[in-house]
Amino acid sequence: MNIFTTFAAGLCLFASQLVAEDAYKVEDIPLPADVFPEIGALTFTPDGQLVVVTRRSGILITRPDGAPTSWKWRKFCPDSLHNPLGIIALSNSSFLVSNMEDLMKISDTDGDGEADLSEVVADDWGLTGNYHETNSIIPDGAGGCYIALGTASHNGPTFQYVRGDYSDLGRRGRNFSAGPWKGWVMHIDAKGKMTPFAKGFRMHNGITRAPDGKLYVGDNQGDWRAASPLYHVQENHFYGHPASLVWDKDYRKNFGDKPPVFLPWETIEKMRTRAAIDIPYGSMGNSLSEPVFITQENFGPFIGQMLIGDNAGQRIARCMLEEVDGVMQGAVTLLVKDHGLRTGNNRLVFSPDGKSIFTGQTVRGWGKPSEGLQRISYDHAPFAVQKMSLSANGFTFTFTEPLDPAQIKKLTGERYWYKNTHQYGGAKLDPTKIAIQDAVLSADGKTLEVSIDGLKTGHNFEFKFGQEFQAKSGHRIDCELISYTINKLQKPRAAAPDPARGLAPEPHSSSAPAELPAIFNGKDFSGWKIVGGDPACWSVVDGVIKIKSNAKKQGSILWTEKSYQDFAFECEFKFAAGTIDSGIFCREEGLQIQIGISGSLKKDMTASPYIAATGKYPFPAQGVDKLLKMDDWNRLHIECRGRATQVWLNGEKVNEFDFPKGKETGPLGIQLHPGKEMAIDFRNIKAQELAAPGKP
Amino acid sequence: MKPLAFPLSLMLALSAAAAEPKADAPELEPGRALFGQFCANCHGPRGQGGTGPNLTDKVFLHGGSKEDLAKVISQGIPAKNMPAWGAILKPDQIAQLSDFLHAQIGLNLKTPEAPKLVLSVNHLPKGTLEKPLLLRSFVEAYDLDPIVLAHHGVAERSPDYNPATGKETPSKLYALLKGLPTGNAVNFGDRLSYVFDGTECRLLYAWSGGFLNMKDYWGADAGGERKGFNYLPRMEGKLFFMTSGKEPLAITGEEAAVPKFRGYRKVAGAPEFFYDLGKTRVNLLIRPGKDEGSLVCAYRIDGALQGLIFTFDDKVRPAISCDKGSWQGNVLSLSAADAAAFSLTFKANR
Repeated sequence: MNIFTTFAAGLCLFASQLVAEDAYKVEDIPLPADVFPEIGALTFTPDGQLVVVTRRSGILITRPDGAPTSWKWRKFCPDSLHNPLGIIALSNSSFLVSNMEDLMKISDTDGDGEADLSEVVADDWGLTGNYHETNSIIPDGAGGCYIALGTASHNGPTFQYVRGDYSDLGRRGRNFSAGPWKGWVMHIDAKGKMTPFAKGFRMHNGITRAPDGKLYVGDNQGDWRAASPLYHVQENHFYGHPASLVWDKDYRKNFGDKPPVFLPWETIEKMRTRAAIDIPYGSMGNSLSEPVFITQENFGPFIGQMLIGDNAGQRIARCMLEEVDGVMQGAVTLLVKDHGLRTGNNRLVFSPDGKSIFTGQTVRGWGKPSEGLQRISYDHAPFAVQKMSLSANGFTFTFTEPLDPAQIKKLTGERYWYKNTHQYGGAKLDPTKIAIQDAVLSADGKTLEVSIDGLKTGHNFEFKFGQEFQAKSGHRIDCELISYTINKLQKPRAAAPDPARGLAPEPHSSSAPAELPAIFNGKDFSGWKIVGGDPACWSVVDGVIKIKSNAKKQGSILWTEKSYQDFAFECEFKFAAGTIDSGIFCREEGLQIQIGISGSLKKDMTASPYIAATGKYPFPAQGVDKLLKMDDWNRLHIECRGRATQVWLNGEKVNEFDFPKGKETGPLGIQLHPGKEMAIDFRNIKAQELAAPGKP
Repeated sequence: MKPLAFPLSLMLALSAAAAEPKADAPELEPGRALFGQFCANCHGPRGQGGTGPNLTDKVFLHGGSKEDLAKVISQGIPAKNMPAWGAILKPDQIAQLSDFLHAQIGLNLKTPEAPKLVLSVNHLPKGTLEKPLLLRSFVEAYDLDPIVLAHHGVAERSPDYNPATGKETPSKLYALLKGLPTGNAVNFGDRLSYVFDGTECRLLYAWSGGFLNMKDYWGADAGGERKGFNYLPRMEGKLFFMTSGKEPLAITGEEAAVPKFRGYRKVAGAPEFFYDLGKTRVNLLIRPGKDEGSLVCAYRIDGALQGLIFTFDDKVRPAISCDKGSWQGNVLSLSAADAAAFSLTFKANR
């Protein structure tokens, strides 16, 4: 390694420069000479055979025993499949393979070792002839799978004839979604039925499911991707690349004929769910590929963490995720860089014994061409950050071995954020030196509690240990960089809150509410269900939901079928007749924003929360009497982020409070209170799952 | 950082150049660092070239002044895959980079030989009569009658998008490529190649004497990079059959249905495609015919049927014969018993 590449390595030093042995050893795995070794996907059969899907040369199988040069390979499928980039082993002789155009079950039915039957399981997505529209899959744990469908690139063509529908609105912009479901994660059940799951991706080349069932994808830097985001994929969430929105069934209703790429930045920012980790571009990962979780002790001291390959760099990143205030976030450092590792790391799979990971390589775009298969095996624990987590006033670093206390002062760091725009990539913005207030090493020397000033959501906190950073043993730090992405702050510990240090919970956005998608179609109760009482009390007339109590004055609730976590809700209501007692249930029946007269207080409590468990209105809204129209339409807007809730009435913010502990997710409901003779109308009902506030 | 160990003669030559800082001058350090981080991957760790061109010689295709360099760094050369770093680097960083690069001109470092790993891309894949090759790929739409592609979506030309400004030029429209997205191309050596389309579930082309040249889609042999931006395999050889007209096959007593591709099984190495027409499962095995320039479509149609009718286009009819059924003009009728297994022989229609 010459001095230039040391510098080019982006500040990461690895053990072999400083100690005798690499903690993780990289070796080449030769493939048969007649195989074009561009690796599209990797898996293991239940009986421990390695399955290699190639771009041009079909599917190969070997049993990886002994020296790799002596492995016997057999061609399981000789067909040149169309860009196959995903595989799931169904048995030792049958596989689900995701090709460009379809998900196929490829089987050897006569036991001769070669596939003889290829059956289409699902193909309900579009295909526009663009090389960039590739996909990847992961089992759903219930016999089906999730499929990540990448967008097309404006550097590639669109065919005159396409498979499936074509959207001119979706064709616009840099990376585009002219055919159905490009830029989405879809669910395919065991019978092959495909349904939308999440949207807003650019090139999520690789998807995984954590042991706890959470889904993750890594996306690639580009338009609307300043760096390399790792996303926790949740149902119905939107992840910020606008092109895919065009296939949302409500898109035209909400945004008309405007191509999604031209939606205002603020609109996209407000709708999006942020990355769990914004992996720093340049130093940690440029084109993220397949993530995998470490599930066995045999791979060293990082069990439970995630590895993710870089398709445009000689490195594998290691991610330490944690849930803070209901949101996934965490730190990233590198597991392996250089040391014989090639670039193009496209797919990763652990060996069944968990001792090594295979990386399948291919690079087709710009950058150094690379292809082939390599194996990375655990040798010994490096001196490294075993885990980094967020504390109430800084970060906790746990090291794999005791730290030399004299090293602590070498720790420095920088805070910055990334802005996602239509531009390709983006710089580290507002870089600010992290002011380290205090650093306390535990008695065993392995845990370092670092207190800092300026903890802030929406930012990366990137720490640098310094090249000479050592363990007590004299081992040098394995990777000099580690970066933590904060989406949510830890709540201050009750014992020692220090608001002066800026540790208060994330401040609420006070900006005016944005336009939300409709959840009531104006015609019927599709997407809703009436629970309890008498359904005849509910009707739809001319785009208005009319609620009228019956003779028995039975109560009932109109619930959304959909569940919400963090959400914005909006409706217009008009008092029609009687003693109005209604309201909006937020995720459960116990928490409600009142509309009309409180039965207990005998006065109007519109826009105030009613807590069923206590029977009280602990946070009365302000200024409602001046805003509330008794004989005209009123607009109510509610935003809930975690427990933090804000309420607007007719455009003015009238309340801000924290709901008491309750369900994190649940439907929203409109109430017809029992025991009242009343009538109330609702219209223009809108709601949307919210991401964390837009601007950090 | 240690000083660079350049050959002494070069150092002397450079020191003779007056105001220009030496290639290893400390003030160029920021630019050198940026180069290492962002450029070395393609241009080599010392700018000596790699995937991207050598930046230490005097050959600059887009100008070698600091201003020229800054412009290329900032705006990129999309046609050559040079990214536009203006989106990522700040102006002062680009200036640092161009200062650094300008000082490297004339070092004339040797571009290394291509890496030892020779990327093995054969862009002319072939099968044989005994071991036919199935290649699932984009294929050319060639001169197909649009009605043949009735079950495809049709794209529209959209306005050219400038990713730097985020704006469109309404007067300038993207061209559409004449390709088909779901081709199943099969080759039996020089004797026969054909394309069975997975969206129309239909034989589109048959030719002999070649197969597909994958260069535009897979890249050339050397390097394995994409060499062009046409992204379409090209049919090579002598096209002897091309289909035309409406989907010919109708199931007696059933309404016309959208064909649905369901997969293929291997019969002596050749794919037998299967697809559904409504409730009816159709199996189709296509193999070379007895004579050069012919092929046989062996159909097996499962299920209780009333019978089948093929209505061929005028351009197709003369090329076709069937071992069963009865003809009336362009219409071939097959009884339920015949439909269980029959063969159409296709000869040249061109």
